[in-house]
Amino acid sequence: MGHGPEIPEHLAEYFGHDKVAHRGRGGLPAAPPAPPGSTARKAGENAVADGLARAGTPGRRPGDHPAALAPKPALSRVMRSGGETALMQASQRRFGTVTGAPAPHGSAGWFWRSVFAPVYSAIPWSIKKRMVTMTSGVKGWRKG
Amino acid sequence: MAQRICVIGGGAAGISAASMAKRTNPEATVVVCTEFEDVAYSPCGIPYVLGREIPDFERLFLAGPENYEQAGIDLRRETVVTEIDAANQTMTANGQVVPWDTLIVCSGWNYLLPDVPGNDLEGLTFVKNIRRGIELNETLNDVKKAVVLEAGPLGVEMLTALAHRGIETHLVDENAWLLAQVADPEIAEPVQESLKELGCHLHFGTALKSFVGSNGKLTGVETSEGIIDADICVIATHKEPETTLGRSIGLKLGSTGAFAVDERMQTSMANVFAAGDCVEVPQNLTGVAVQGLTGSHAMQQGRVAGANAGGGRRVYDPVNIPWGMVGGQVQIGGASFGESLATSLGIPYVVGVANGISRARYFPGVQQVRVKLLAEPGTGKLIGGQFVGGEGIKERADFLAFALKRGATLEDLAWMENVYSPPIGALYEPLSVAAQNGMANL
Repeated sequence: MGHGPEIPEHLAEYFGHDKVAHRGRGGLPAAPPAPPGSTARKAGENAVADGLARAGTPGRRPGDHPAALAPKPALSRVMRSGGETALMQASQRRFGTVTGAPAPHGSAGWFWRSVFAPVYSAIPWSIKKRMVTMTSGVKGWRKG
Repeated sequence: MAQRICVIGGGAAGISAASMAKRTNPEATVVVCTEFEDVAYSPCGIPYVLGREIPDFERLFLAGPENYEQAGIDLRRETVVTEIDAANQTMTANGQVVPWDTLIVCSGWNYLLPDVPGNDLEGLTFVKNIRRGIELNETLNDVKKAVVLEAGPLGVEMLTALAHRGIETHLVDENAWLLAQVADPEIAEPVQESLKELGCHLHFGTALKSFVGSNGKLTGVETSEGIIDADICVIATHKEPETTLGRSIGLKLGSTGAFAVDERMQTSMANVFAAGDCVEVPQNLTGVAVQGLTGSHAMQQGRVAGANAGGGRRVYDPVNIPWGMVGGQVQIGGASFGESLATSLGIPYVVGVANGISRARYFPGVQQVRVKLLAEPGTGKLIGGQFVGGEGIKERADFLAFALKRGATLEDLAWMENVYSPPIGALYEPLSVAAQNGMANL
């Protein structure tokens, strides 16, 4: 199947011959539903019947809002999160130029972006590794 | 008296923990409490039914609740655990006090809810539970425009699914490129182009400001670049560990906010284990705690927790995190560190890159495979890699994760044996060629 002219020439070779890569050539047909009378078939049919009956109707149900505001974090999590965000964004600014990517939207905060990230980058890896392990490592595990 | 093992949660970790606990100690009473209606289905398949690549939801079910009863597991669905009494070793489930000798907490995760105005509007959409997915599938017929918030793995899958449905789909992401937490820009680029070809509009470097609505319903998403009209917004944000119950009994949390566990998946409290997306485990090369991995990680952690809860002795290995997926029509994957992530941590590395092919060059269907490997300067010990192409990405990611686990070097891969068979593999394995190229940079 051909592709539109909007695909850059240097990327065209990555595009498969089918519209969806995982369908591929010579793929087997997907597995049919579980056999009639099986427990899996029954569970699936029950779920679908119930879901269809409830679709578009009001009322709360289990799992309809699986989202939560971040709990008040401990200091260790604040430190890790702030540092990680700033370092990832600095890295994205550096590598994004390769493909002409836009700059990441800066949400790290002034301290992390302007103080922490430059200072961290100047520290040798052997010291950084100890810092990282101490602040964000796990305890009670053997080494991999 | 038989050991009483209680499991909180019926996802991949909870169900595998219960099954392994019962197998390890057949005399034990094993109770599983889940607040949901269903167990033993594949939540990872939901985006593909929504995208109409899989014809129905029934196929995602692997077993029925009867299977667990037959295995001697007391599976209690739609049962909410509201309290744990650690001193008396009981928990309250649907108002009933349930005693335990050993507890396994597999309470999973929630999407991180953006703390912006309008985050309670109808139209904010979450893909997680299958029955809610079935309901969503019906309502999608009326959806014309959608926004997906954040290009993590689920966000990319939902972009693809919604575009397949013919819905005008926009991605909003603060990062500079797709899957930026793990992928490098030139590896992500073919996937981005494929999504654009499907009709997706990608807004990178763009922040969410608010959800806009009228009469309680979402009508648009306000970003740092303006308002995007939308009937729904799929929230595909970070997997925030659900730790409420565990925190109430004083289980220790780690730096990711998830439960700290040892290599036996035991928490900071004796006789209390935890597994899945509510725990953190060490990354193999750095020892840094990571959380919110994949369903296969959750299942294996559950097996380890269940075996130990049942009196066995199993340990869980530090992780190298093989990952892979299809975005648009392009496959992408990798393991451990990419260049951007390694740079952000300050890890020194050399790079080996190769553009290879998935089959013999003359065989129909041959596709490009790009490989990028990272290794320690001097020793050549691998620290990660990434792949993008038309086929064979998952297998290479799995292989690389195993190579990382065994401490393999660029030289090992440069001289590796490989399958050469025209329909499934080229003479030159792209991984090996990338390793050879990397050796020149040591």
